[in-house]
Amino acid sequence: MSTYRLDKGGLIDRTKPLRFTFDGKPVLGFQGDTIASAMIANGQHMIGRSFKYHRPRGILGIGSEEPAALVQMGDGNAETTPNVRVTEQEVFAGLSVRSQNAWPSLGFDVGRVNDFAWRFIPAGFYYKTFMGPPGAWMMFEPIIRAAAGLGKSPTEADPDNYEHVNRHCDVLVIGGGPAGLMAAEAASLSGARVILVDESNQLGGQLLGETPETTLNDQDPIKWVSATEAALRARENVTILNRTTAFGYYAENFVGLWEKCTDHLAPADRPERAPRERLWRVRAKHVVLATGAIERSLAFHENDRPGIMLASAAQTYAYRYGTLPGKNVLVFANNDAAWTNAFALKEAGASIAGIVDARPSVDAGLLAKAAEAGIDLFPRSGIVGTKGHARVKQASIRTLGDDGQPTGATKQIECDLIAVSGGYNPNVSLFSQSRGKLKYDENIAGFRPAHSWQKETSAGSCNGVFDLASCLTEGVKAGTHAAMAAGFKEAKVPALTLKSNQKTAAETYELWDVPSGTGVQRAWVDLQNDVTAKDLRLAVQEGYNSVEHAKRYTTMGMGTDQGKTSGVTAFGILAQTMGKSILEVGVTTYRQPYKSVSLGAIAGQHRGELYAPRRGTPMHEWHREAGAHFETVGDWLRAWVYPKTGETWQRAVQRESKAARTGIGILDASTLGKIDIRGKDSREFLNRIYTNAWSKLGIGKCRYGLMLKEDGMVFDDGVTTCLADDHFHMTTTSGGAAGVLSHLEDYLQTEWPDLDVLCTSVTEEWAVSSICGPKCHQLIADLFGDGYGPDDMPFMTMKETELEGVPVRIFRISFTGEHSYEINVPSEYGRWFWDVLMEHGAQYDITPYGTEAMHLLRAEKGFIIVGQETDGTTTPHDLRMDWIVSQKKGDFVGKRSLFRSDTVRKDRPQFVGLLTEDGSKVVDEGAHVIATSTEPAPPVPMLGHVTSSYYSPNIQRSIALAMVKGGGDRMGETVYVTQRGNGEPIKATITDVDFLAEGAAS
Amino acid sequence: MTSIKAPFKQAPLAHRSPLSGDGVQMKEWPHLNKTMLRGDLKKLGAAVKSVEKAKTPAANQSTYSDQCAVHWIGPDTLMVIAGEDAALADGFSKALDGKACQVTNITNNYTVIELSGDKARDVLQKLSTLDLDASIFVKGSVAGTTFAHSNVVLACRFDKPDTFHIVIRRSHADYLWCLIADAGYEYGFDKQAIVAGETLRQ
Repeated sequence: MSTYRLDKGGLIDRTKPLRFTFDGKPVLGFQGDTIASAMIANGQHMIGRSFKYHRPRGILGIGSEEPAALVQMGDGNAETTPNVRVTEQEVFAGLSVRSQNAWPSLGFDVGRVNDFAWRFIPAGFYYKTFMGPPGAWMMFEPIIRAAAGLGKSPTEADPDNYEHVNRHCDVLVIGGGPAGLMAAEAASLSGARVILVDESNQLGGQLLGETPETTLNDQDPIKWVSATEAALRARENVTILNRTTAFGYYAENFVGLWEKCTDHLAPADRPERAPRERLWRVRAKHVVLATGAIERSLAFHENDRPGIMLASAAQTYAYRYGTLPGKNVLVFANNDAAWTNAFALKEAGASIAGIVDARPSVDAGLLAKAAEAGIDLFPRSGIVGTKGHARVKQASIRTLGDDGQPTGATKQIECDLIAVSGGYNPNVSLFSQSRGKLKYDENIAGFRPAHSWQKETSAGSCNGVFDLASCLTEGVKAGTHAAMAAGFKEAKVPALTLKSNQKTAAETYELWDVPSGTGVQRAWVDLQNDVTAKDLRLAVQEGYNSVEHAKRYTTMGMGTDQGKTSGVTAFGILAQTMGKSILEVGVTTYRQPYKSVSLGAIAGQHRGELYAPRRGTPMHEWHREAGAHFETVGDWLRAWVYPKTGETWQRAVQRESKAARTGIGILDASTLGKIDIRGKDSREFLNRIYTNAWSKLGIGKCRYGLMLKEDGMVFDDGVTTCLADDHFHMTTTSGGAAGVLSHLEDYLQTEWPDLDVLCTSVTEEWAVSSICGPKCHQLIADLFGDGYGPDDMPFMTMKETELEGVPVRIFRISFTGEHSYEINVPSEYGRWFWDVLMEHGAQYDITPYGTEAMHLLRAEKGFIIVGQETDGTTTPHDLRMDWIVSQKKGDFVGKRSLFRSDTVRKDRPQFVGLLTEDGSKVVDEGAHVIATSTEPAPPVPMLGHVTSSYYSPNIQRSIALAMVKGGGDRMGETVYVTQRGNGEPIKATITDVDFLAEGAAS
Repeated sequence: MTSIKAPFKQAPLAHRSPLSGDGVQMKEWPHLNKTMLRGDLKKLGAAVKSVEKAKTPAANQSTYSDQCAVHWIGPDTLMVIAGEDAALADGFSKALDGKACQVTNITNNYTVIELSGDKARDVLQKLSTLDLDASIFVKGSVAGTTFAHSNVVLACRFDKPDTFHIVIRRSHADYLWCLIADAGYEYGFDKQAIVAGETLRQ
């Protein structure tokens, strides 16, 4: 490879060579290089192939706007990263990158056949060709995806660390170019807390690519930038984030920043404890947008070859990276800025093959200067074709007539780089995300900010102001304004002397694509997705008259670059084709993210073990030691079943359930929601919240209650105990605890603020051990002595006592229908008390049972589980629990809804039991209940569905609970329960739900 | 009556040891006595003054006496935290008897993690969306907020601007301990493996 590296200049350190590989071949770069600048210095522009036609793709830009020069970085199956822009990735020793979408190699790619067939693969090709019968797409898709595509996703879990960081600041400055630096300067001098972010590894923006002719305070631009940066860094109120992209501007000045912390370092140099990437969530009082402008290309025939580059990028490679992008540069432009670039490239040592300018007239001063430099000029001309495979080598030029069409003879010009400028688009992406409104500015032929929606100020090139002096001034103004808006006093910013001969694109001749003068024009607009001017015209012809539709049809701007360089050009071509102004056609919506953000950064530290809380009870360790299997209930892990060695979980459930009705079973019920309710109006409050009456519940007495929402549907259930006349202890379902507390607070704070009632969650204050079975009274007597037996302490009562000085609340509550105690002790003593119960219960063969046995036991008794028997459309009447709905007391939440025509109709599903004819057959939970012994053709008339189903070891047959239409009036009727896999429906009888009742299961 | 083994208390983070990094330390304050007071703030304030000799905290502030911290939780809610042997609930119950207030012993419902050191704010800022800048979240500030999926009460001590008390739900303690340790990894905390590995239902 011939070298294009300059001897001096730029921000690279020539004393620090770094060797990396591209497609396995060694490449030499220097500290400060990007992959792009190193490749260019080695004479290679071609990086990959395009998405659809597999055309060679080179480097167009200098940063995140780059559409097509993407590589796969890293070789490991876990660490590899696809679609890395070579213009952003810094090189490090040992870096390995590979070209994408080329097989078997970059130079010889089988997919090129797509290019030879380009006439037959127009916009919408896939939609038109692969319509086929339903399901056909599923067959085509893998083939299409293999042929067209970008990089490859890693196949193994990402081993790197990512994290979220939250910050508030007074002024967030986005972009570290001239405007952003001055904004940060002005705001920080006022004392405001400033965060300054820049996408690149260096602050300075366009200044880094300036020629040394430009001076600020008599310093060359690079020196001035480092002096300014040093002053900013010295201030405690300033945070500067490099390699950080503001990717999303959200409501209330909330901005997402994506910082890449270590990808620029060789693995051995990466700080061991630093995350790979950080996602900063910043809330700013005021935002200064200084995001610069993005140069756009011109769409001309064969404009996609490697070596065709944006003019400003070409200059930046020379001055920031110390490498010539080409030695013989042809410039093609419609504005003055590109002339400045041409002069700068010549100054750097390139020869200029010519300047092709499409404008009807050019400033006389520029013409004179070019003539003086000996540059060939092609006024009012356009490029109508190019040659070259891995790199452009020739361009054909023709004069443009008054109608814009090429006329006259074609001139062939040899060159190794075409520097193109179609004008500059102010980078309004974040402004637009913030809901700011844009306007079209004919002078720059681009969109610029018009009306702000949030507390934000655009400054410099992103505001449509391109000259350096104005960028600096606007920066100072924006920074000052932002600080004052955040409540600080204006600070005096020292004046700045600027010397610059720079010409800008402030007057840009509106030109989107250049006719080729022949019948054939392949002029690329979107280099990544292979969208040409012709495709856009075709979309309009086929009726896609809105930019949003044309975008989706052609896939214009839908690549990883999101059309940063191509968007406005595409809108221009669409507008022209429709015969409308670009203003009427408008732009597609700018959405977050500004550029693709890694999923690692979005997940942050909240992944794997830290993805969600794992809540354990005070007795959790005991269950683990006992070999319990657990199930998740909300965030809780609850012991589900305790299989003994060699025992299946199904057998364990049967054993546990049997023990709970023959000896003693013990359950950890600590997860039950618990709410302390206090105040003289507590009874009235409970009357309004529950469906039943609470006025007369005595002290030390417990009562079961159903809670409805306003729609009359069951929301939660539980037992509430009267501790004192104005003091109650409510329990809720484990999963419903937080929702119930919110429900109570909602009514207390918004509906009944007059009630003297206060609630506090005590869910985790108490550890709850529930014991049940015929021998449980003996165990209680062993521990607590007399006074707690069934005669002294009836069902649904509570007593407070102490054990070894530890306060204990003993409840006679049962969820199994068996004799039972729920014993509460302070959570810190939970493990101790469980140990005591296990030790003293051993003589009664105490058996721990899990939630599965608990479900079985309560199903034997016909008790509901909210969320299993109910589904948010179930009333107490549907549950045939009319007894719990008080008709005497006043209003309660949900009452009026119980009298709606829909809630009183006779055929609502009702809660019933099901006994199969063959007691050994267990029906499926969720199975349909139907009226016929065989399943008719769909739609099958449904009577209802099974909500719970078990084999009961205590009744020694299968039992099931179901919701069946009008079930209450169907006792004894025969129904059928469908089976999975088209099995014969199972014959069953509708029964009452309490299978333990005398004669119920016979 | 049979003999019963002596009671022992188990703090939620008893299985963890204090962590120390470069500029940040973390430990549990186990067994602290905690009481939630709800009702009219003036009445609560009077009780706090008479029982614990502490002032009524302003919104988002904590006050301190020799034996306790009083955290403002909401316009009708205070949380009082004192040493293990304090019996706050009884004293407050007497002082507020018949005054339409609620006194709830929540000693077991929560535990307290202390995070301290120069880097403590940086660690917390990875989990909290609040503005924890030293000029904003000053000594004696308190806030109810969330760290990831968990509710917490975050308090900056009255006497040390780099010391924070994080009041958390008992069952969330291990998750939060590991989450904070992960946030402090950058500053030298050892990563903490969460209590896990249970056999889950098939």
